[in-house]
Amino acid sequence: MGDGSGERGELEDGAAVEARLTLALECTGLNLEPAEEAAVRRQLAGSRARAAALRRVPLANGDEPEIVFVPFRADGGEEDR
Amino acid sequence: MSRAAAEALTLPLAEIGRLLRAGETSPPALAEAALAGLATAGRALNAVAALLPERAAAEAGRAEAELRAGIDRGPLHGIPYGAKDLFAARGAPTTWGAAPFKDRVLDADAAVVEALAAAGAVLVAKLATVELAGGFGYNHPDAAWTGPGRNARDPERWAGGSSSGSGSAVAAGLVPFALGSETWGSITNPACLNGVVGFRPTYGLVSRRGAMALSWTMDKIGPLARTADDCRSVLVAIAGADPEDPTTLLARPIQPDERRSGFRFAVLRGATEGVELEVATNFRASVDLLSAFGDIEEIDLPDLPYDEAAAVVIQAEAAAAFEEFIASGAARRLTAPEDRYGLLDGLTLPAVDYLRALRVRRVAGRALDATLVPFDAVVAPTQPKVAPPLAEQFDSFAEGSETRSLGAAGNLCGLPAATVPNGAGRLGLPTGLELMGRAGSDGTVLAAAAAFERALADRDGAERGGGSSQGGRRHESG
Repeated sequence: MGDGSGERGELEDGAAVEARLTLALECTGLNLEPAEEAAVRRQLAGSRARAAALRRVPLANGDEPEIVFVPFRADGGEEDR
Repeated sequence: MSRAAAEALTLPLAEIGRLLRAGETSPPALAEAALAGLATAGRALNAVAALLPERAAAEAGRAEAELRAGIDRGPLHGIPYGAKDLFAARGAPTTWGAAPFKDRVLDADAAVVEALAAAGAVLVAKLATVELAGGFGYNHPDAAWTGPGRNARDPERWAGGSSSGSGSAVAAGLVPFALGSETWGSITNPACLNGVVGFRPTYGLVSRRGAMALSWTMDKIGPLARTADDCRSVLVAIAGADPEDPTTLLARPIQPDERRSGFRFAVLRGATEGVELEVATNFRASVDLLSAFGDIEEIDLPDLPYDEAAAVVIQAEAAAAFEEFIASGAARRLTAPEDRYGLLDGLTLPAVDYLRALRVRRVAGRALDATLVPFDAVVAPTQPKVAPPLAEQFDSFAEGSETRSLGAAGNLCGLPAATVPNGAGRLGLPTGLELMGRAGSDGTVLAAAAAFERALADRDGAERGGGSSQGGRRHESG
């Protein structure tokens, strides 16, 4: 993916924005007015820019996502305490 | 309606409690006064989603009977309150502020509503919220079927959001406290703009069962009230483990902190850059007050893309939570035109972008915590400007004001924060001081906020030639 910098990045971003717009409209079945489509393009460009900003943070292979999964027990494990 | 009861609604909880236990007012009288005020002033502010007179009468009657029988459930016993209309309440409309859900009635109480009932509080109303907690990208105040939230200090200005009605109803003295929720700013913003105290708990401290999910890893529920001590009373009642919200099983209990001095405060460097002149002036005066009962040191937050990470997390989770809603076409019936095509970016967000945001969150959480270890709280202006006019588009209102704030970092990393009114800004509208602490330091943040309130009351009392807060009502809530 492009990082949004430079002419090539802009071209890649433009193509990615159009692809994601097409996908979003197909997934939802929505028909948007031209002005609405333009607004969604701006949203998608912003989304790409945010992703590029996140990629500038150095991450190691072991830097896990901050997801907490708690195996469920209805009593919260109180019976074992 | 009893005038005395209506006036009692504007007092701190401890003082209302004293009146109740002295027999000078009663839970039914308070509930009736709250309902009457909400029906008139509350509706004029567009703060009300639904009044609940039958439920209020039943809960107030029970509270009164228990007090007469010597059963006392504590500081919230017999106190009327309003809940943001994101929380389910049995038999009441639960609309999430969204026109497509306007007639929906859920047959369950949210965990927080249950908890407050157990504490003896009396639910009188569902309070207005920006539609779907503002998660669809609204850009102006008119973004709920209840109409634009009007500010209690100036009805031609915005009440803030998304807990709009919670902020304005408390500020107008219609209820002593209200419940709000925050994914990114939705408690602190309306609390600040209306001039009341708001508290965002550590993520996972309060169960979200029965609350609308906007962003599963960012949503928090907390109080808006007249004082930090009042927020603490509400927080104690609603916090706790709930197997139906697994995030609460990991939460640390609220640590008591009785300090009135000896705090260590960090001041966010550059926090007054780009903010309104009066916001900066009030902030500097607030730091002077903090220095009277705490050490002060200026700091920078670790240089990380908090805004971007928070936005990506919310986009992805909100789009997933509302995918069917969007695909059904129901979003096209939302009030704000821009909300009708909101979250399409989230629906097509690559999974790796979401996971990268969560990885950055992990890095940010550790870096931020290391920065905050030496301090009880870091402070900054809650909002860079006072409440905007109702007709204003947010992007044009914010234009040209690149500011440093705590909101993105704190919400991304799930940290607790209080906002406390710290003076009058432009046009006499309220400004606020935000105090943010480490994860699990909720009790300390509230203690620091209460100490700041006392210092501010002392300063204002001295300027008016009166006595200090030592003899005032603030301390009766202690």
